[in-house]
Amino acid sequence: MTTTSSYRPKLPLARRLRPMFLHIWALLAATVFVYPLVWMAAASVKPNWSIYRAPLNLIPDAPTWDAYRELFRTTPFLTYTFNSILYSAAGAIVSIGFGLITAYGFSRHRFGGRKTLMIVILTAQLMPGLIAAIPTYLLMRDTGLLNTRLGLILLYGALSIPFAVWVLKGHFDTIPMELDDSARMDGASRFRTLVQIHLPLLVPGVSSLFLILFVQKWSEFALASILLRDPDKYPLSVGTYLLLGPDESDFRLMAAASLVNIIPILVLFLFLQRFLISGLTKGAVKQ
Amino acid sequence: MLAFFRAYPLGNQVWLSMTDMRISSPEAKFVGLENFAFLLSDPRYLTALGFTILFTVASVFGSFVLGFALALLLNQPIRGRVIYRTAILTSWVISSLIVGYIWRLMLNESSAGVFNALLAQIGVGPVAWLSSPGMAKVSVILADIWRSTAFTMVFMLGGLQTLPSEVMDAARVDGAKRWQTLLYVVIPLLRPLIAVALIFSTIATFNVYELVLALSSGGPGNATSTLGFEMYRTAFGIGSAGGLGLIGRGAAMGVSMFLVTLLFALLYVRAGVFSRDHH
Repeated sequence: MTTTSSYRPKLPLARRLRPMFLHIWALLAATVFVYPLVWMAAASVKPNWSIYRAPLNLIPDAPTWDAYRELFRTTPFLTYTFNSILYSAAGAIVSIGFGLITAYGFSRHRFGGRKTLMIVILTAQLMPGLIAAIPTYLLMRDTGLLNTRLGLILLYGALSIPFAVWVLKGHFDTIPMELDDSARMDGASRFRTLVQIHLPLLVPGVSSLFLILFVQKWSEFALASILLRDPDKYPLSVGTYLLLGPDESDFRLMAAASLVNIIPILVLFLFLQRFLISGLTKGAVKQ
Repeated sequence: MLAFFRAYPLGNQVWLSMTDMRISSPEAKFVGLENFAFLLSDPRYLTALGFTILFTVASVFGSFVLGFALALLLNQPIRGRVIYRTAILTSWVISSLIVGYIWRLMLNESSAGVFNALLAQIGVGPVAWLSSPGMAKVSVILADIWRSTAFTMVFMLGGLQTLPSEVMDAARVDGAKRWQTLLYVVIPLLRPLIAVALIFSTIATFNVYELVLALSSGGPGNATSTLGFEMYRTAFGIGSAGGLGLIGRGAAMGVSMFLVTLLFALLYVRAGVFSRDHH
């Protein structure tokens, strides 16, 4: 294996061109995923004639902000945006709160049926929200939570508890038991150990989980559209569908509304993508 | 709380599926298996079932092949690969609904749509991407592959990075070609992870409906209607998509979807994902 270092044979042409081909493929793939967004951003500020006559132009000659002005002045898009932030953040916090307590139990205590329970919890996670939408609707109606912000937040929180438990248990398991033991010997209670020893070590894991959950809730549409009836409570996803519907024909408005939905989440993602990726793969790939 | 929001709804769903409950009146009468009998003879439901299966198989297959290929590509020592990875992953944080709108813009059949504009450059088209039943099916599948490829990529990339490099080196020393290493070393080693990725994406794809709602509204006719879309339309509906308010029948659809999902969940258990214990 080290023979190549002692002399340098002339590599065949295909070998030398390989890095270039890899770059071309990677560039092509990146284009397929980024081009639609750039193109849409351009379309959202193009004047009408340009949308139809120069559809492939990525740099508009006479940009207009009309579509955005319309969204934020004549439609409640600003309210939708605030609602989305509230539901996503509060829902994620509820999941993480319950997730921490449960994951602590699974990680630090041995009890009968522990493994079976973990499987039950994960199976619950595999059921998409839509399938249980109808009973959820009736449940919320009967408990008076229908059409309330609190109801949606609690529901968003509850739905992700299983996922939060799985991810957080993985993080708890990486904290050595010896730390618990020495804390106990120093006279710390269980609760104090959790707050003062475990939580500081869990900060990176909890932050990445928060981001994943935030993105998930931000995208949610089905339950919010079923459970909320007042337009001033709608999150962005539902507000956008209400505005565009199945047959909106204003090209620029559709592009602008879509962009308003994805820009906050895209910015968050670009800043914190390393966090997100390690958080996502942790549960399944962890050795 | 978990029992409140998960277990109770599922039990309730089965009961509801045997009633004639409507959203407009809280009274419900037990009708036995009538809803299920109706579904089995309802051409709309059967068309949706057929398309959902085609859609799921095509999209899961397409996005897995592409996602795995991209993972292999970005596992190579390419300069700037973090930038490439980030670029591809942007599609992963965009919601299905918005992916639907992005594709509706791109597939626009007037001169404004990017697909027809590109085809016009080489003198082809215009193609009826969304107004012909056959092409609309292809369009919805393409859009969903675009939506789900990045997840498979990042998932499989995580797996590739855990492979010990000694194994790859050993295969290389033994004179294995790249494709042989892939076929006989990498894929068998990643088998459990591949199973998980496939099942995750199957369940997600099987239940897709926001994408359909925004992109095609199930049309033309009901050519691209999925089970999730049908269930949503039957029980609730929103805005101009007009719901029927038939809670009982919608619940029966939900039960049928639940059974299929459960099948996948069982597959997931069988794939041995739970055999690992951290202690």
